[in-house]
Amino acid sequence: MIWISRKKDGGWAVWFASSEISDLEKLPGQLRGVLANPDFSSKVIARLFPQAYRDDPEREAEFQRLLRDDLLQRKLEGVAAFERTLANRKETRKLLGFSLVQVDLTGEELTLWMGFFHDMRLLIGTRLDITDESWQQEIDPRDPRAGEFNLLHKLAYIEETVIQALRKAEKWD
Amino acid sequence: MGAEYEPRNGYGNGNAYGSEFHAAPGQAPARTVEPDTEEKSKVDRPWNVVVWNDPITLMSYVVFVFQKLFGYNREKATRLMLEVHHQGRSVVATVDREKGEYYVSRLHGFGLQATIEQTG
Repeated sequence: MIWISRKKDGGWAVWFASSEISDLEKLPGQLRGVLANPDFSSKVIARLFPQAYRDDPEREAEFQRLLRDDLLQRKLEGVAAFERTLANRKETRKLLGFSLVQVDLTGEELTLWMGFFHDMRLLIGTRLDITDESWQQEIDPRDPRAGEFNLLHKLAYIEETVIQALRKAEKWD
Repeated sequence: MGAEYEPRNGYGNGNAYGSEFHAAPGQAPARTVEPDTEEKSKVDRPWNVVVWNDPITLMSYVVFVFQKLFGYNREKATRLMLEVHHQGRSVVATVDREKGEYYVSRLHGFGLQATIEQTG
């Protein structure tokens, strides 16, 4: 579960159940591991670093030469921001029997979280070869991929909550 | 015509989009009008920024990005997102190449699969 609320100073308060923290803490290392020595022939990295010119190898190479490093830095920044802010969490009250932790974020940090969760879902979803069909289906709990599949759904819920919070801040709804 | 209008490499070439047609010395300008227009149209043809479908990305995320990056309203952003979803791709902007590359890099920054291709 996740709750997000706007604070009076314009920042954000994000709450998670304490029991979820250990799963969340494992995420940054996974993405950083993939980004540390990016293998550009792997499908995960290909998804995280998309092509710009599909039919023009020369322009594609030039585009990537100029921009790939920026994109990598941007992703690493998201990983670092998530890790740093999650580490600064504070234990807070109990709600309906749940022990909660609170993470305080600036608007910029919440946007970085959105990007981080999106990248995490691209990483896991690509690894699982997710399709429109398989995304809709239930997975057999005995399937060895069930853990990652459920994590993908859980992160979708978190990402969706972040998106809705940011939409409200933009006054789009 | 020997002049090259399509730069091999657009980067660092400040004149990539506004290339002037240069008539060969001594040639009457009037004669160059027709080929000029024809050749120039290839260089000046705008570029489409295309976003591709991807089963992992949330629909609401795509709408968010289109609104944030292009300033589209919710209706337009949603219509484009649904086009991506149902047709596999959607042209989200038609602009000059420099601007198109900027949009593609921003879309990549948001983790969307975006490409650029010339119209026509």
